[in-house]
Amino acid sequence: MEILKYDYPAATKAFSHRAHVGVVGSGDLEVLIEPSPDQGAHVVITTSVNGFGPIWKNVIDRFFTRFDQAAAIEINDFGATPGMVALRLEQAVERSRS
Amino acid sequence: MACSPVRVHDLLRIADATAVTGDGACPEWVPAALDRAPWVVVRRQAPCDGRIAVGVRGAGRERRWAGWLSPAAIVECRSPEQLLAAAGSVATIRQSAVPALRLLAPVAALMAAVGWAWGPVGSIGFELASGQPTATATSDLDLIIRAPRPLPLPAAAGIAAALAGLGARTDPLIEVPGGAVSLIEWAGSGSGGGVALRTTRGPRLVANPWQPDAPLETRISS
Repeated sequence: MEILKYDYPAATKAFSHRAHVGVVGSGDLEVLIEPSPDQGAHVVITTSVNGFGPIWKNVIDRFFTRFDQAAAIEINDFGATPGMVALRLEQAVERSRS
Repeated sequence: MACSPVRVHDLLRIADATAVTGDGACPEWVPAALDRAPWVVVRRQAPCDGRIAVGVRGAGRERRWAGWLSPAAIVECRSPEQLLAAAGSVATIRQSAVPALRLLAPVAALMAAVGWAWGPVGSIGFELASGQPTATATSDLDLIIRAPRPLPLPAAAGIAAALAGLGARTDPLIEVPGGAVSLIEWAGSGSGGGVALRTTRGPRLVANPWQPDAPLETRISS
């Protein structure tokens, strides 16, 4: 198991919702998104698969090229592909708006 | 060979470890893993140049390698359903050590009652095919349910609840004609928003796994 943390201090737009998507299961992940306690965005990833930090950084960086809100994002990963991670992040944002 | 054509999750025994080629460099652990258990699993990716997308499993979650296999190199193929049929011969010592192996019989009884074909995948499937101790005391029972026709939400919720009631953890995936979805996610999707359909071209959000091209419910803008 590995815990990864990334901060995006430039993501400062107000974010006031909360959503939980995804599944506890092989090749999947859970994403919890809620308002950040401060002015920037924070991502904490707990993954069952060690050694993929650079790939995570890449996927999360790419998400934050389009998402600019001060959210706290918690991810519980069970060996999801980068494509599944991106889908669940988009789904969490979409759900938080509905 | 026994399965033709091969499907996602099928386990393939290969005669020669060098028959698996990868897009990148072969990790150092791969030859030893294939020497110990010469089995690879069919991945959810379309064949390329006639070669099958396969995965090599090593010790530990980090040791997975995506490769490609020529069909000519397959000497045996076992589908999840076939592995289930052979599950009765699992050694008692392994049944004692691995709770997920002890779940096979009650899950089989449950699935027979609801009438959907199913079989074990993941570490349990690999252990049943290869005969090599692979699952651990903390392994889930990863399983697939074949649903060529729609599995209605109430039926899905019933199966999910029954599986959850078995004690040790199961991880059920529904195999549909266009990919696969989590049974748990499908069973809980009544409020809308879509479910993740895993396809050979990656995951996508769909409202109905059996009609993946139907539009997702349009969200009412606030």
